[in-house]
Parts: sequence; C-alpha cells; structure tokens
Amino acid sequence: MSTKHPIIAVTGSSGAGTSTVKEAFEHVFRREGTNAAIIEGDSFHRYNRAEMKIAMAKAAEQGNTNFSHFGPDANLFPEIESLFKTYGETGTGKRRLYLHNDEEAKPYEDLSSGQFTPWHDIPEDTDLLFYEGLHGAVVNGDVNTAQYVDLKIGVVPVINLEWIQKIHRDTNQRGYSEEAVMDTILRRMHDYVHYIIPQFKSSDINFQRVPIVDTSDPIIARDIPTADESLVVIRFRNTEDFGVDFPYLLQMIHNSWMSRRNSIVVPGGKMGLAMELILAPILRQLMAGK
Amino acid sequence: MVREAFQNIFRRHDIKVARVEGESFHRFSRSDMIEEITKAATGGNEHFSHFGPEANQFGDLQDLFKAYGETGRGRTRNYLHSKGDVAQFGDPVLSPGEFTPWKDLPEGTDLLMYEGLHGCVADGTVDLAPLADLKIGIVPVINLEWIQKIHRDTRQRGYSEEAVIDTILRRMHDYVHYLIPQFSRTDINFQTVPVVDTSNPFIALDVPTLDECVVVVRFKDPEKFEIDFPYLMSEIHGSWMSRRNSIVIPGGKLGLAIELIMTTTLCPIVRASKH
Repeated sequence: MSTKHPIIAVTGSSGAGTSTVKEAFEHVFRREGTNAAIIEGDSFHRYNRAEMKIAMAKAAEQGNTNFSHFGPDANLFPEIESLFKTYGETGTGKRRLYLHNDEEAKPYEDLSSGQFTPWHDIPEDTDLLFYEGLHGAVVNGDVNTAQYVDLKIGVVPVINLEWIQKIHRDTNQRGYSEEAVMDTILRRMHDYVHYIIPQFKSSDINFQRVPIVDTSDPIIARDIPTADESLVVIRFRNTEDFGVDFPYLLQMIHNSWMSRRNSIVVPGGKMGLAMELILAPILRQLMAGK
Repeated sequence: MVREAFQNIFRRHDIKVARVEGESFHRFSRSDMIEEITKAATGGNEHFSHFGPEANQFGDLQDLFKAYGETGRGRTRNYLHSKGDVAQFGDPVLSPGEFTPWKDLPEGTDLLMYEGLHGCVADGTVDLAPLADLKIGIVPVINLEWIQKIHRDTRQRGYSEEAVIDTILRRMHDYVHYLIPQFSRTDINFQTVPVVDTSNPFIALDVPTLDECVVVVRFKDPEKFEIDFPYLMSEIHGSWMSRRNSIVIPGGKLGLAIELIMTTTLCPIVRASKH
C-alpha cells in the first residue's frame, strides 16, 4: 500500500469484462489527467509461446496433468510482487511486453509474435501503476502481491459464462475442437481453483457478469450471452472505505437494484457506465492522498 | 421447493405417480463406494465419481424407462440415506448407505417420475432421453452448485473445505462428460442464477437465498408444449423474457412457475395416457 505511488490491480481472465474495465479506467484516467504505468499480466508469464508448449509437454510426460497459465509454474509471481513493492516505495520498476501477435511484434526487429521484449524501466513520474491480468492479488507461499495493492478489482463471470467464452474463442477463432478446449478447461481447473479463485476474496470491488439466458450446457451454447442478456453483480468489500453512495448509483443506473447490503445489480449493458461512476471518485480519492 | 410443486400438481389433478430416485441406481453402497474410490485412485483413475457410468447402473435405469413406457411396470429399490430411511422401509438388517432389495413398482400408476442426476444420460451404450416424455433440467450455475456443496459437506457432514474442493475437482471430469450434456437434451431447464457475488464460491459465508437469485426458464420448443409467455408473465410478478424461448423469474417464484408450467405441459400427457 502506498499513498505516494498507488497501485490499482484489475484481476480477471481476458474476455471476462477486463477490457470493459480497462476502457472505463482509460476514460477516467484521461478525464482526470492521470498518467498511469500500464502493466499487462501476460508479461509475467514464465515462458514465451514456444517455450510454454515444450514446458507443457514435459509436464504431461512427468504425469503433471495440471500445468497451466493459471499457476505458479508458468508465471513469475515473485517478480510481480517485487514490482508492486518497488513501485509502491519508489514509483519505479521494471516491465516488459508480451507480443501477442504480428502487429504488436512489428516494431521489434529481432522479435516475433509470442515472445517478450527485454525488461526496461517504467517511465518516471507516473501517477500510479495499473495492472491488468490474471494474478493481481495472487498469494502463494511466501508471495503475496495483494498486500501492495491499493485498489483491488476483480472482474469475473460466473463459471458457466467463462467456459462458453473460452469455448467460443478457441473453436471459432483458433480452430480447436470442442473436446480439445474442454480438456484444456479441465487441465486448468486445479490451478483455477487454487490460484485464481482465492484472489476474489480480497478484492475491494468485484464485478461479476451473470447471464440470464440458459447456460446449463456451456459446451453447446450457440451464442455467447450478450451484454443485454446479462446482469452484473457489483460487490464492495467495505462500503465505507470508498464512500460508496448507493442511492446515487441506483439513481444513475436505470434498472439497477441492491441485492445485499454491499451489492448492487446492474443490467449488463450498463457495466461500463457503472464502472466509470464507481471508479472516478475512488481514483480522485487515491490521487488526493498523494 | 421443486418436489413440493410437483406434489401439489399430482395431488390437485389426482395423478398417481411411481416415484424413482436416482440414487437407487448407484452401483455401490456407501461403504463399497469409498473402497471403490480408493481402489480407482490406486489404479491411477482420479476421476471415479457418482457422476459417471462406473458408479451407476445406467443400463438398469434404461430398462426401467423402457419397461414402464411399454407396460406401466418395472422394478426399483431404495437407497437408505439415513436411519430414518431404514425405519421407513422397514428392514432392520440394513443400515444407512445400503439398498433395499429390488421390488416391483406399485400397480396402476399414471406416470413414472424419475428424480436424480441421470434422467437424460447417454454414454455410448445407453441413451435415456428418447425414452422420457417430459425432460426437465434443474441446475444452478456452477458457482452456486459449488457453494451449496461446500456448505452441505462442511456444515452438515463435517468434511474440511480442502476435502470438499478435492471431491469437486475429482468429479469434474464426469460432471463435464455425463451431467452437463444432459441439459441440452431436456425440454425445459430451470437454472438458478445468484444475483449476489459468487466469484469465490469457497468463502461465500451464506448460501444465496432464493430471493437473492433469479431463475432462467428455457423451453427447447415452446410450440410443442404451447407455452403461453404473456400468460406466464402476467401471473409471475417481476418476470421478463430474455430470449425468444426463455423467461427470467425472481427466485422466490420458482415454485409458482413450476406449478404453472407443469400444469400446462404435464396434464395433456396424462390425459393422453389415460385414454
């Protein structure tokens, strides 16, 4: 935790709404004139794409059928922790980029899609660090990244929806078979349960997308539930911390309602609006603390 | 609530029912099952569970559906969950976790109602869905299913949270391969969806109440059962359509919804069979 160099971590798998939350933050950063150091979770993978394939094959050979991008074997958890710690203390630290595709790799002569850039210093004079990835609040043995984060946000769909999204993406865009994707989901389950899920316990705010169409057989669901076919449950761990004004939110977000003392439900299409309404005052509070 | 709703309909319409419980078709008694899980694990099978074909007698269940459909007769047995069950089924030599002997279903019933995990199961050898006239899926989203299991097993059965999570993971393979596919073979699904945060199902202190849920009701073929959506929406306060064939109702209205829907879907089936 750092008043001078605050850290915001958005934790959730891609496609879960993390892009909506990232956009909402970008809007808020721009409007508030905040200069954020952006950190992508992918850059803390232990292996590049080619190495990961080899590591996975090797793990399977040794009888480890649970090797996945969710767990400690495939990620640099201590490095995430040390970046957060250093940034909080000094406002500096090292980061690198994971090059997802050819487009991103273009500027780098010697590098191609699926590789990392070398580590380099975060620019000086940033106002805060913004992490977006799978492990923003991860805890494993001695590693505890959560303790250094000033605002922890979880973005997570119900499991049925997470599976539907993954199956769609991997079968339609990446050409995998349904069985292959299902095998991947099962292989990752152990790490999902032990490393991903526990993070949402410590979130300051969770945004959980919940479909209101039948998802009981995620494997054959033909259409991904749209935003209009979903609700978003927003839960605050401690409503006093951030001075959450529920009557205001209820008034501003049409058709929203309270489902528990600390939880508000908004129509799926209002997720972006809800995020901006909620996050702007919190960001102002963080910046005022500096 | 589901069971009560069905009982109300059966009583009101004077329908005589042969009830069959899914557990009766487990392959192993409670103590045998524990041994089998250990045996499987030693043999390198870490997926042995009550969800899959090794631990169930799918073939016998299929035979029952066939026989009943053709003749109105068939055989079942009872799984004795508790001492109360032992007393009720009156065989003091048996203990909880065991089965009663197989026995004939009562005579002169109007329909058979199966309630359990495998009403529409298919495993390459058996295929139950074509044998059932009305297939209903009742299934919470996975997060809620885990919360319910963890609560039940830690609070009521004294297991540790770690042990329950291990069980959930062990069953996952069979869950995905044998349970889930059934819900695309059903005529109607009732899916309970919490509207409170369930992103960490393992620490949820309170099981979401029905008032903290909505229920998605999906009809595979609304025309087949002449589903009257405007009628349902006028009868069920706070309900709305989310897709052409789907209606969302407040959790507290689940019982009402089942009674309304079942009355229109079930009664024609019973009438046809009585004539």
